Amino acid sequence: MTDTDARQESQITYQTIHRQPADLRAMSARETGNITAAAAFLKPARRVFTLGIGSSHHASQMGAWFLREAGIDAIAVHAFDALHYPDLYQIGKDDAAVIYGHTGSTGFTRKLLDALVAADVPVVAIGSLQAEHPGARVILRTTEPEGAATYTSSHLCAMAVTAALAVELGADNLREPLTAIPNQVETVLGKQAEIWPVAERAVDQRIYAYGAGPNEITATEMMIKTREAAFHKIDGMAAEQFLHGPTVAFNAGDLAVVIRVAGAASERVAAIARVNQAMGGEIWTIGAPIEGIEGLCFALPEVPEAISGLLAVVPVQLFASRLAALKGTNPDRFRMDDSRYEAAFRRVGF
Amino acid sequence: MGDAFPTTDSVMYQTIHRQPADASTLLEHGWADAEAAATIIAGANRIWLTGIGTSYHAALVGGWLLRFAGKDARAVTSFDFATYPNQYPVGSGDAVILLAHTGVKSHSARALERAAAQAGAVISIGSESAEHPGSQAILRTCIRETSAAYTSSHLCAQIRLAQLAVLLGAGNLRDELMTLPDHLATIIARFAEIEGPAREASSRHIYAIGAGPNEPVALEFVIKAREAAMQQADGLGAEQYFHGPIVPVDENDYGIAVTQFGPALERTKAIIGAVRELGAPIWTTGDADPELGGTHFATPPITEALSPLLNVVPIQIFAYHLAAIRGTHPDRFRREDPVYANAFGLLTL
Repeated sequence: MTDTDARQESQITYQTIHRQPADLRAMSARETGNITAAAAFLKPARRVFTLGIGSSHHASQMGAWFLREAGIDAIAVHAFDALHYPDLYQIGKDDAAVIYGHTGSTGFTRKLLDALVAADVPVVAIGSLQAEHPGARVILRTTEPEGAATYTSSHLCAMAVTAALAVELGADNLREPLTAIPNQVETVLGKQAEIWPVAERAVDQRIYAYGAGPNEITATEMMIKTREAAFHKIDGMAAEQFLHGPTVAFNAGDLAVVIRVAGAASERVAAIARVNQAMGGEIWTIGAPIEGIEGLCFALPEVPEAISGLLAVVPVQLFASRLAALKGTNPDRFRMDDSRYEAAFRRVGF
Repeated sequence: MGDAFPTTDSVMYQTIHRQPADASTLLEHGWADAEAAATIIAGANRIWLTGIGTSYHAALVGGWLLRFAGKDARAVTSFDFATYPNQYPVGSGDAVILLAHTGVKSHSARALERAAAQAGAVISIGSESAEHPGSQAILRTCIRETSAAYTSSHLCAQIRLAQLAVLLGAGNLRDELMTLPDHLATIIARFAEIEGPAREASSRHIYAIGAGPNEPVALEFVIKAREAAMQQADGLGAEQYFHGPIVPVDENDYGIAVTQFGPALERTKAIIGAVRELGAPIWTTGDADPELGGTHFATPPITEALSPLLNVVPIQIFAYHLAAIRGTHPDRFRREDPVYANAFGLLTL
């Protein structure tokens, strides 16, 4: 075992990433009844708002994607915006809300929950086994409270439980593929060593992550995870949006992390990757290999595009964890082990 | 400053300066066609706004403006709108507003085709020469841009959306909207004030933030700074930036924030204050000076709903100065470099 291996294996982040198959299975077995109950609240709603902040915002975006697969008129809105601009969203009794809050006590998410409950909006909350979401009609439980600031398993489970909710609401095409996800996550974790050389090169690289459709969200999640774990310069956005302007600053030697899975956007994402390669960039593909691309591909099992983010997020997490180990940063603490950062962040307040 | 590239004679520079005149034209002569377009979409249950690149950012601002008018308005990229129809279902009760400056980009064309086939009402916003087949009304912005860094067309698209918002329920915004050209002229007259901050930022990694309707302004800065100046710059909503993405910031970076009076101001100030506290120089723009020890570029007071239309201009000027300082060509999308010309030639934008 190398020093880097040892550093990585001591991370709570790393340990939590590896707990995910077990957490998914436990959640699936435990939450069946709650999922049915939650679906009953969401089904008659005119619109369903999915709401969160940080990684929970990304889970809420993915959640909206899943619910739309079931024909629900689902809208992801940042919880900060929904709280501070209530007149603009007019969330009412005939709507419903799904609130993503791991602890249930984060400031704005909690205030938003209180406001929605006071307005008699049916709320389904998604949080940890100990999360308090007073007033929520149903709480879907994900995992034990995370010990690392880089929420990983709770994030994956929050997405997965919403996918199960979508199945309950009519997305039958996802039912069978969803049952395979825990084993597939285990398979992905078993290939983690394929990621280490990519992370090693990335230590000195500027990184741009992109994907399309549901995997735009995976790309932005990679940005959060890599920044908070490894304090690294990385951006993440939708592939097509990246092409229309932001890619101009892409330089030779930069790393493009291309999340490309089978689906409606597959060819276009591949074409954009070829553009970045022609600019002299290095390409790391997650999903399915791209013809003409020289970089490594971390292959994922093929699943319906709608739920492909449940698998694609795992190599993203592992990459962030490895990069942190290589750079010697502590991924678990949100840099709060540095008194300057702790003071600055606490002054703002979560 | 690089001698090889245009600066004040660049098209971007000239187009930025043309904005008060372009805005005046729309606000003096553009209400009749705006009213006709508003009538077409007035009865819709939902209004989808769709575009790509800078036009997507205009769609985001338009979403805010129409929500201020009481509408259920949602912005989605034209790529997603065209590629994932089941995710963004459109029916006879829906209206679509397509934003496409030229009207010829592939995914915008596909989005328009889909909207024309499925939506109850379709209008569009584009240049004076844009062709939008299937649109029931085209709201014109300005002459077709010849710089790749779209500035006036972006602002004018937002003015068109603001006119629609006024006509669809936000009548209270009308008087302030009419003051826009004068305010724009005031801002542009102070062009040189922004050079110093841009010089300080030009060798740093820039993080830009904004909140509420000014989040798209931060995102727009990223596009402008990257395509005009090839500058390393990222942008996010302020609160989202704080929940993770802020962690790498240090004294080698640079912070930009839109500080505008409104419900999100105090939080935005606190977050950009943390960036400052961690050693990064900061530059803020908006009608509220956060008084955090950075440089503030004050924009004229205006209601928050309309403020992106003002705040985007200092952002454009900042990006222009970055280009001038870094010696990059702001108009060409880096196509003067054959490597990039060849790379972009691999596909159709």
